[in-house]
Amino acid sequence: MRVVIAEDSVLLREGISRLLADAGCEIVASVPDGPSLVRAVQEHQPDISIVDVRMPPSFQDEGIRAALEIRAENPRSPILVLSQYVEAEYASDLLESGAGSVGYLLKDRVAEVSTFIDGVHQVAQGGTVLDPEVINQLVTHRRRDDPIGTLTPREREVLSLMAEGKTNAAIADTIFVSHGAVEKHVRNIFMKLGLLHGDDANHRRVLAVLSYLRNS
Amino acid sequence: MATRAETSSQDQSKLGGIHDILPPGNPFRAIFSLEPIKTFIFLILSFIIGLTVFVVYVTIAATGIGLTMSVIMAIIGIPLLGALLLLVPVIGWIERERIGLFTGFEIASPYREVPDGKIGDRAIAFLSDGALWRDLLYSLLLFPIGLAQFVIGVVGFTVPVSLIISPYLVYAFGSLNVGGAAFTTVDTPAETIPLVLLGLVLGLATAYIFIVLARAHAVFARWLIGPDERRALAERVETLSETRSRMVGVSLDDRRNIERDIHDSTQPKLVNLAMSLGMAKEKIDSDPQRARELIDTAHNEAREVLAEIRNLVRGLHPSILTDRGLEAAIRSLSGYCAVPVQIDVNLGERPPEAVETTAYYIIAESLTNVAKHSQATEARVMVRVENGNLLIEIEDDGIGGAVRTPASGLSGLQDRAAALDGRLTISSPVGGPTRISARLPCES
Repeated sequence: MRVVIAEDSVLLREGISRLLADAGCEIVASVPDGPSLVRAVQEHQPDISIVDVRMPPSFQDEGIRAALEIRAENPRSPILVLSQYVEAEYASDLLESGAGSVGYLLKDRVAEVSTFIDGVHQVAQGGTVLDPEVINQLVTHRRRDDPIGTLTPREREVLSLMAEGKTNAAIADTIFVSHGAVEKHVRNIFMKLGLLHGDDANHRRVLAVLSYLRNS
Repeated sequence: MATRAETSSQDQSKLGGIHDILPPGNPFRAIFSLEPIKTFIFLILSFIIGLTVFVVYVTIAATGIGLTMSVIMAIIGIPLLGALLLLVPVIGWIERERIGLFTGFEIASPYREVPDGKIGDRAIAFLSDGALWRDLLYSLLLFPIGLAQFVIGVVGFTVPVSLIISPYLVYAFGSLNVGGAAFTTVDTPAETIPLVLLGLVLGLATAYIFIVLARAHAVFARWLIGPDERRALAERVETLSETRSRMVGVSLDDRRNIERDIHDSTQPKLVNLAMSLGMAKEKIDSDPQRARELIDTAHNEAREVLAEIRNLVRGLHPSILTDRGLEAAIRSLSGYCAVPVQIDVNLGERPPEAVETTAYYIIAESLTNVAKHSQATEARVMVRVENGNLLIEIEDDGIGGAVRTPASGLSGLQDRAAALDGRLTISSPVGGPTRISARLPCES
């Protein structure tokens, strides 16, 4: 797998490169800022770009802006954004920037090596990966009369996992139930929340769940 | 030359200068305008208002004092005297408005803002404001001043008018006695021509005198019941230096808290992590099983440190605020608040950075308090811009009773607001609800 890394800290750039190289990836370019990321992606057309949010020149949400710029040109260019802390606001921007092939994770997750590598593969193959922390921000504190209150604890768990971008099969593996049971939970959740997309199309489903969580 | 004259008149006007008594520019332009009529009405009104106020004061004061003397009736007497004092600023306001309307001298309210708080504190602030007593003095002086103005006004109006219409009077009544020692009798209209001329001259003179009198009244009022800019300036300097020293305290406290967080928690965790790895290195050959366990521990410790630093950094400065502005930052805050938060933010363009940051800290601290102390089930954050001020309101449906002590976060917030010339008020009756409101000026 060919990877472009954008990260302004040399230490972290080397660390992530080493970790990915160990996992069998080829680092085709590693760059320190937003504009050079955009150029590197145009030049190398990588299988995935791994991008830090805060980079020069603005030291603001440079990584997100670069990611949006890249995906405005090619909505299928896979991008995994890493950040010191996650914000639901940025997650929505990224998700709406294209059709899948996008991820948004806390930088800390790099330490869970195998989960991180799984995420990289998932995004490269067109999937959507969101940090549990984003979902946490959105799900935990709801209004009293929120329909989410009518979900069973198990259904809430499934909702969170769906929002993270997991497929039914992956959810079944995570919570140790059968594939059929997961499908039933998903159907119940969509019915209770009055959502339309009941299909397994990963990206559309994440988007529906996320926009429900943000707008209600 | 012209510049100097202008500057000096400006300086004088600030100090309530005598200079302003004469109308600016050509006197004849002032005389041949609506000014004489307006100022005539003004002089007559001074008397009417002065008399009314005097009668009302004397009646209320006499009744109030009389009742207070007869001990038992003091329950009615003392409130009556209190009501009299409440009337004073109203009369002051009427007078300032009247003077502005008739003479064009705009006099701002001299009163200090009465702070929110207990009724006793508010009463003390009200009574200790010199403006109240100056308004009282003015309203008492208005009666004699108004009386003099009334006499001058009536005489100044009737004398020239009678002289000017003397031909008609002679025609109507046959003859006319002109007063004074000479005591002449005028009995043909032709003989009245000098009288008419005299009347015209006197008319012009009194028209000018009316204007000058009204302006003199305005200048006097501005001096007595207008805002005292020097005092206001001195108060502002005092507030600012107090705020500044407290802000230094706030930032020292902040540094101490950060130091404590790092020292008490982050550093020990890193030491542990290094120790676990060191031990693992020792064991890796002799006891690989134990080494694997130690590495596992180290891995967990590293994760914890990361999460901790993330929270610490977030508390120092929320990058979403810089990146996306206040509304996004508040939404993010609400995501971390244990109580559901309803957000109603209405901002045009982004406020200055210092205002935005202060607003953020006010909201963050308030929401933390809501979650920690209020037992609320819901909170509401409202932010909007009005007349160049950023208005913030945080409300909850909790138990109330929040108190502001020098050491509490709330007074720190008040200092932060004051540092920007803003104001933060807390309303938290026992039983709730608690409402924190702040006003931060957006333009400096």
